[in-house]
Amino acid sequence: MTKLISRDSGLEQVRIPIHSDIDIVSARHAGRSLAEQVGFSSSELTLIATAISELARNIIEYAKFGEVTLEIVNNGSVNGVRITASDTGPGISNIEMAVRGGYSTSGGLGLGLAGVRHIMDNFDLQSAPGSGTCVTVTKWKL
Amino acid sequence: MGTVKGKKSVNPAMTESTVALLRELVAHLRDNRTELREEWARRITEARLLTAMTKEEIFAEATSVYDNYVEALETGTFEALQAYARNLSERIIPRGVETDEVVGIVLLLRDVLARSLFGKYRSDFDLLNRILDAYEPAANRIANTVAVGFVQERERIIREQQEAIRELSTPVLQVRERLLILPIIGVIDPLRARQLTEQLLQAIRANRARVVVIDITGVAEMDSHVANHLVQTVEASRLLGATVIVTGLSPDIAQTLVNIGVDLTKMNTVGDLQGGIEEAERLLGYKVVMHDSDSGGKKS
Ligand SMILES: Nc1ncnc2c1ncn2[C@@H]1O[C@H](COP(=O)(O)OP(=O)(O)O)[C@@H](O)[C@H]1O
Ligand SMILES: [Mg+2]
Repeated sequence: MTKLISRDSGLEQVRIPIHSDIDIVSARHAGRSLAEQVGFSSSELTLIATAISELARNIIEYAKFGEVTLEIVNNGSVNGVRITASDTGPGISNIEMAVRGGYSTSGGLGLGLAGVRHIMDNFDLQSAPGSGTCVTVTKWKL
Repeated sequence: MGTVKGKKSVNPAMTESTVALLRELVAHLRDNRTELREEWARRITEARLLTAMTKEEIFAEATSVYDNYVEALETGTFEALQAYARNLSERIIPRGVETDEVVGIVLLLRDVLARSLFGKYRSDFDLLNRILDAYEPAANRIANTVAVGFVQERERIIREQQEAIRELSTPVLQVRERLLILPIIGVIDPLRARQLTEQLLQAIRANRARVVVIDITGVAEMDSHVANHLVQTVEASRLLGATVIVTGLSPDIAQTLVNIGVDLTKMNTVGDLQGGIEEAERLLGYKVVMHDSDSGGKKS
């Protein structure tokens, strides 16, 4: 289920609850169409969609459920797309390793967080064991 | 009188007076079993519930539910009722019985019994009140147990059906001797990825396939997790002696995966399905076969 909220700035925000793999697809679609509005190129759209997939899939895989918020943002000179993936799951005990890459507690590739960090412009991760995880990333349309 | 006769102990949360009241009302429900059961079955038919079942079936189930109901009231334990609710659900769900019908019949039973208690104790208003106070929470919990049991069983059946549909929805196609095509469409979650891999490996063995073309044009989302599943499938196929060609990976997605750090070098990728099949034929040495006969049916 998708909610469209118009904020004071007139910029758009979409919130998508993430409970199953189908929600990942919805989040990708929503992210793509926001990013299209900003004018990103087709390969940038794929980057953004993939970042959404990685973060949303981590929510399902590690926290069972959570939420992805997508917004068009402006830093004064350029527009961008911001993805916020938050959950109230177990949190990450070793943030440094998780972000550096190649570290996985699920037998995966351990490339999600490191990869998202690499392909996006801003990367912020807040997490503590037992109190959930919130990853915020932004891609600017330069 | 701290204990109730019988094997099971009572719910410790119940006070002794509640236990005594429940015993009293259980005795009443046992004494009037025949009429109350009939009354209930009649109300079910009147309310047009369980229309998928015959009168006799309704009566038979009503009897079992009634007895389980009274037992749950008596013992304060719900395991037997839960098990029965599951079993009942398993039998009636395939016949199209809906959740509202099941909730409806349990609520009807609650009301039929409440009315009968009302009839019996109406001369002693105070006792009636206390009896109903003891009855209501227990009756609500029973209704809840049965309804939840039904819904859980339904969900289990739906999950099973979804799994079956998924398995059916990705056929492994044999296009030629030793050549399989696996067109993947939709969402690849970990469960489905496992199913796909299993199916493919079985098909490779059964057909003694040497080349497999996995077409991912229809995959709804791609990221490192999905790519990892794919790479593992490729590896497992290789172990069984089949070369895998992956088609339908768009340049944008391939580039993004590489940017993320996914190693695609182990994956033999070809642009589209047509190209993939041609490459597969080349690997299978179809040109040599053509040399023997012009009527091999292969286009150049
Ligand atoms: N939302 C989250 N909640 C809890 N732990 C997480 C979350 N996201 C990532 N992690 C942890 O960080 C590790 C690295 O994540 P990621 O880079 O996506 O790689 P992978 O998912 O392949 O393991 C995970 O194995 C997991 O331990
Ligand atoms: Mg991940």
